[in-house]
Amino acid sequence: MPLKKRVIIIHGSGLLFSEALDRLIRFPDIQVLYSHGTYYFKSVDRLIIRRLLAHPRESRIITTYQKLLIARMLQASLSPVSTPRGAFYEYNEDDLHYLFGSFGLPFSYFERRYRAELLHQRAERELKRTLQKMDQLIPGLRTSNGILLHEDEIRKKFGNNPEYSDIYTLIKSIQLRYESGTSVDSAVAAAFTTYRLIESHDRGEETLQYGKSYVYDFVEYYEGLCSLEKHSPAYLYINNIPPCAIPELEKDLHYLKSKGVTLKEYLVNNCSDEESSLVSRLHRDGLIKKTNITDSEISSFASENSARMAVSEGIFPVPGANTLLSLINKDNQTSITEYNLLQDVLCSPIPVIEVVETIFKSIKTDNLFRSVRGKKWLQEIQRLNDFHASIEDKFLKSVYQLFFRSEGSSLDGGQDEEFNILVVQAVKPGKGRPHLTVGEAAYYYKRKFPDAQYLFYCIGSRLLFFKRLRLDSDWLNPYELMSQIGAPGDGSEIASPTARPAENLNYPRQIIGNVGSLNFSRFVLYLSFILQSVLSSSAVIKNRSEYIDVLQKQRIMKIVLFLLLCFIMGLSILFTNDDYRLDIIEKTNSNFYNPTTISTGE
Amino acid sequence: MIYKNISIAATGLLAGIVLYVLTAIPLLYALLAFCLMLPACAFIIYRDLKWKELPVIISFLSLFILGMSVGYMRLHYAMLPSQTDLFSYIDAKSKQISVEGVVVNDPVLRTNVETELLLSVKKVFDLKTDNWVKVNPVTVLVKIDKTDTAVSTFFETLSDTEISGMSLQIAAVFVLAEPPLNPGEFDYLNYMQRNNISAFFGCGSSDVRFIGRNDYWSFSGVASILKDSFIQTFRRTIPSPESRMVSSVLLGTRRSLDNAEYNGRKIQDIFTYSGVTTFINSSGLHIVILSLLLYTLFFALGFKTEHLAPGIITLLLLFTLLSGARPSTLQAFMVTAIAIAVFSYLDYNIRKSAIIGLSVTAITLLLYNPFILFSYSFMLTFGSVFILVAVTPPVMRWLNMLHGFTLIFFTLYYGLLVFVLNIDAQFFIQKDYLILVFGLAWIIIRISRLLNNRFPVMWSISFSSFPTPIKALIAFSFVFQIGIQIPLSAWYTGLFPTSSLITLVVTIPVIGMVLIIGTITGVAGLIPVIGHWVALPFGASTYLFSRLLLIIADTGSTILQSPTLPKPDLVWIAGYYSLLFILLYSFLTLPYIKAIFFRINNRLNTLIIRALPVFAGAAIIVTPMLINVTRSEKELTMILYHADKRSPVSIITEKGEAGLVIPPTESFNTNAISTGLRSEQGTAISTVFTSQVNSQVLSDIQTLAKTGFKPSLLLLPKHLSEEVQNEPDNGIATAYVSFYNFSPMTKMSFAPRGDEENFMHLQIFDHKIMLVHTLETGEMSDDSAFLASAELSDLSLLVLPEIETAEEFENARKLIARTDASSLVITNGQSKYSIALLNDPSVQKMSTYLTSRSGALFCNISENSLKIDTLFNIRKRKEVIIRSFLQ
Repeated sequence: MPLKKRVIIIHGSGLLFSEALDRLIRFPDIQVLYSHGTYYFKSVDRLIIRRLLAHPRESRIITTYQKLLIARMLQASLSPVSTPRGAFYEYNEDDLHYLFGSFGLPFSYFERRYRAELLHQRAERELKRTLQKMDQLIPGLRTSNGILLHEDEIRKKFGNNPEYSDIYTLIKSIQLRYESGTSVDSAVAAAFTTYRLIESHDRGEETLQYGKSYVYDFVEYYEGLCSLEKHSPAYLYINNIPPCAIPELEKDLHYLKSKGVTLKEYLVNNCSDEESSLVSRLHRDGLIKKTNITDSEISSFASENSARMAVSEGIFPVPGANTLLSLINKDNQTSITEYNLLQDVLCSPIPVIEVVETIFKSIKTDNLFRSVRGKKWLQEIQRLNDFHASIEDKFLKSVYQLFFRSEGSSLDGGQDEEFNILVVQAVKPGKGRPHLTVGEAAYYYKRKFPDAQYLFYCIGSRLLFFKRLRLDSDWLNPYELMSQIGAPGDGSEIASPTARPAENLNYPRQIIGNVGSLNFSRFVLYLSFILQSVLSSSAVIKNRSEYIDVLQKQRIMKIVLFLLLCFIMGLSILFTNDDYRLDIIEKTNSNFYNPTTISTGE
Repeated sequence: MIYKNISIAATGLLAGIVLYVLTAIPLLYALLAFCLMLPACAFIIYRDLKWKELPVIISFLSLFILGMSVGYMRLHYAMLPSQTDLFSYIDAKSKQISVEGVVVNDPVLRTNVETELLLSVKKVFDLKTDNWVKVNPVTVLVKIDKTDTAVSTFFETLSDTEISGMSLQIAAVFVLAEPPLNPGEFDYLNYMQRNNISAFFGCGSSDVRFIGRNDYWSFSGVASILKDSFIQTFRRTIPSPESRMVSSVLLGTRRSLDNAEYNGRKIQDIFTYSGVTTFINSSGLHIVILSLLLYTLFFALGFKTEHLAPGIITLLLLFTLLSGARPSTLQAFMVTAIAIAVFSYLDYNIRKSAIIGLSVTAITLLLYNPFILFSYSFMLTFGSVFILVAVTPPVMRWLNMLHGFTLIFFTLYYGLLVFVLNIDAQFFIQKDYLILVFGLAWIIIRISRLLNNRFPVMWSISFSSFPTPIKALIAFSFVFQIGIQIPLSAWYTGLFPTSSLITLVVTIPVIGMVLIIGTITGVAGLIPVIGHWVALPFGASTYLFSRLLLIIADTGSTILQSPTLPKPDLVWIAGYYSLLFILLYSFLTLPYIKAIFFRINNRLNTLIIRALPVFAGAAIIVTPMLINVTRSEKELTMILYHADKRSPVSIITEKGEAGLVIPPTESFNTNAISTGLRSEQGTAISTVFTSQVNSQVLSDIQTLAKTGFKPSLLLLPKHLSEEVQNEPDNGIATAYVSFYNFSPMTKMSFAPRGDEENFMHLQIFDHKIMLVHTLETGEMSDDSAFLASAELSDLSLLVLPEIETAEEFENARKLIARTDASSLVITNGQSKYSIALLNDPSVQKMSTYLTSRSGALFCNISENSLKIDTLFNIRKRKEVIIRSFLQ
């Protein structure tokens, strides 16, 4: 019987280095459809497509992928289909012409076919070497024992390797797109679980190794658990997902069990009676092997529940665990500072798994913040913050906050609940500046508006991204919400659920057809109408936009410079040009505008 | 949604006015449509406010029909005779009237001794009570002749823009406005109708008394003071003619460029031939440029959009008044001010704000005066802004698609078109040549795309990679050319400034700089005591840019000719714009066209399909060549112009080539000839046929050349070659002939020696036409040389001069008795002898035309027929408004 892998589930989304690499290797098989001026991609490919088509000719390797993709698009356009239904990522032909016109996009059938073939051949030729390198890279991601390397180990191994630097950079940027971040509580709970697993097995017959014996994976609660089938045979460890938030928990568990995946441990926090009875029943039925539902005291923090489990197993106390628990509870000023630091790290473009592993390794030695500082993460965060500060005017140009007051639900035992959504217009950093991902934008807004719980990041009315800003906010089910705001099938993406509001049949196209920064307030009003009807709650809109003129000094300087230039130019003419003399001016103008005194005509 | 509703309603209003002109739908239908659509539109707006949309087609149709019905009824109302009590004060016998009022426009100097003012009459002298009485304000047109030599400077004052806003007292005579007798003559009837002018008065400059200025301390008074100050600053800081140019560009002082010259050419001519005039003087685009400048300035100083709008609008108003508040400037101000307000307060983008501004202004102005729709300034101002808003995005889109060889070949093709246009405009007017032009474009696209495929490295050279300001400038100048310059040049001036196709890209930023630095100079000059010294360096910079503008305009217009364009009709203009918009916006249909073509290609992937585009291109190129080779002349047009004594005649072929017959005369009406030729699609005078040349005629020919009709050959009677020692030095080739085949179907013959100044013959197809220049030949006996040589048999048309004596009357009768001509034309025909001739029994069997009663005559001559149409009939057919539209 094969050894079952332990899969520690982290609430959120992300992509491992190996998974991102796998996507790039399989990219030549990507499916494209074309209908009436729009290219359609499978929704799951949206983020990688967006990444690859972010800028034309960004780097050699990206250009090669772009050639391949455009060749596929041109080929698809030669065989148009009727508009496909369902969740697709759409790419407009206008945008393709505008951004990638230099790749050659002929109109006529034969030229287009010829061009597609040519681009495909070139891309294949150029990709051949890259794909070879990628194939060589795959064994390098594992140790000689076949154990998958940690993300930080991969960084150390390939990050500075000139041979793979371009591939590494591309994969990291793709990972960044898929990364949704997670809460400090979830990360610490995952680290505690890992620690418990390793410590408990140390005393047994076998040592657990990352990649071989245990791995991390991400699950968004609304996504369900079925996707975890890919780890079969495996044991699952979940500690921060409310039972009611998983749409069909029991069904999923039955399914997983049939596939050889068992929910080994399910720690719940903040559980209602209904949820409690559900979990108890599943525990009794053997679908959940271990749970804390029967414990006399259940903490509202997942990490505390995990710690208690460790204590009950005789693993804790260890110094690092106490420090982390103190941090979670924000016992003192130092804890608060460190909590904020960890939160920043988790929300920044640093891979979550790398952070969780770092926390895990610090539990025994109690050196978490020395490790964090040693990894130069803070410099990366600072760099990101500096960039965000330079485009703060754009960030704050169109920002609205919707406050909802909803009457009690099953989540809180029937109490009134208040929550809010930050609705922002997508930020365009400007020419020559790096493209901004939704995750980066969310990171900024989370810091700027700490009270905001959710983010709707809107690219006009074309696309709306959903992000949780406060990672403990579980009020909204983005899948349902996105399908209500957008078209049927919207919201199915894991990393950041999206909706296409303009595709909604009830969308007022005549009133707010093209949403821009000027009529964004009207779009927000429309969203508030929809949300109020979907959530059955009243909404208050607050304009949080700020006018920051970061270029005012530059503009004033330009005006002054212009005046100065005119003045100097004039002076130089005054002193050097023979035609420009006062006497000549007076003489030549003697007949010009000598107004006659208006007489009475008498 | 507001912008859609308003723009659709405005479009409907325009359509309603045009509909009234073109059709005769009973007013009841318009009223019915209005009554039905008004509540429907109210309901639509109510639904919009509730965010509940009705289908686009319903709201579109309702608003459009509402606008259309309003436009239709408004014009109907405007066409009703004006109700004014002014006429009751006119003396019945002497037709005299004394009025007092304010001058409401810049004076129009028709000639050096004749100026016209629009006077808003407030008081009128009642002869019965011998008192000044107040009347409801009405606008009257006053034509002032320079009758008094003693106070000549007063006439100059009355002709100056300074007079605008003054109160005057005028003792005038009522003049009955009459329709023009020749094409191109000023149409007072239309002018008055278009501008809501109630009456036409005439007076001498000595009959005018200055009362005072009404608005010295008002806003416009301040503007006037500022204008004075600006001009004085320019006078002291910029040498002439640049100072005049800056004043003209910035302040709209049109007369400041009178007689100003550069390189021996009039600056006004340089600007006309280089297309700068359209841009700076008439379109009001300088207001748009200034608003952008002010917006940038205020924005840079940290003002928020909603705070800076009132300031910008106030300054624009001041500038509008400063620059004379001409109609185009006023309209541009209204559009810009509304657009700024909408942009600032209603959260619409610039494009939509401009559309709202345009629509609101159009609705306001057209409801006030629907005739304004057909005015040049309205068309230019609204056309400019509309074209900018509507055409620039698709043009930019198409230009962005130019890559590699497509970009290179397109640039070369553009250059080729400019070069061809420089040679002859006919290449763009004749259908077969036009097909050739398109066919060539097609082939070039095919070749360049093939080359792009072969050399993909060239794809990286693309229009989209140009810096944004350059792209915007190229797109704008391109849009301005195709959207404004070409159709309006054809419509109004008839001269197309070819050089602007190349130079406008450069002149636009230079004009912008002149505007900006000129304004800075003027503002600096306002500083007390040291103002002019501070303004001096800025004045020098302005001088530099003005000189640059002159150099560019002069060089461009010297190198590239300005061909004459024929006068297009309404259908042509509508077709042009329709085609333009269809072509430019065809990208919207590209996905659908692609889908169809690609499906066909997928199924029929054969060599034939593959080669089809090449065959199509080749066919497009070959077809016009074949048409041209096999084409034969089918029809010609002859115009007999009205004149006091003898009619000049022009003959226009289907290709637009014209021949001009000038009778022995002191001078001829060049404006009538050029306008007449253009109206019949004539674009060039190849031959002038005359039996007598004097200095005035040569001078008139030079004047004609300035309108684009420079004759290439002057034909004189053969025997003159023996008498003339020195050929007339007029830059035109001269030849001495007895007859000349103007076209394969047209023969022009001088009369035999001795009679060459008396008459000449034209034979067009088989139709013989005799042009009699004079009947003062002494008594004409039956065997007189005149009658013997006149070849009077088989005449189709006989053209006689004005008959002023009994002898001429008798000679005319004898001439008519000897001919069997079916039609007779008498030039002018106001004399008693001419009228008497009409009653002669021999004449009564003929179709007779007097040019003083019918206006100029247009004869369409084909192999089988000679049809005569009159200017009056044409005007009548076109109705009142079309008349003004086509003038």
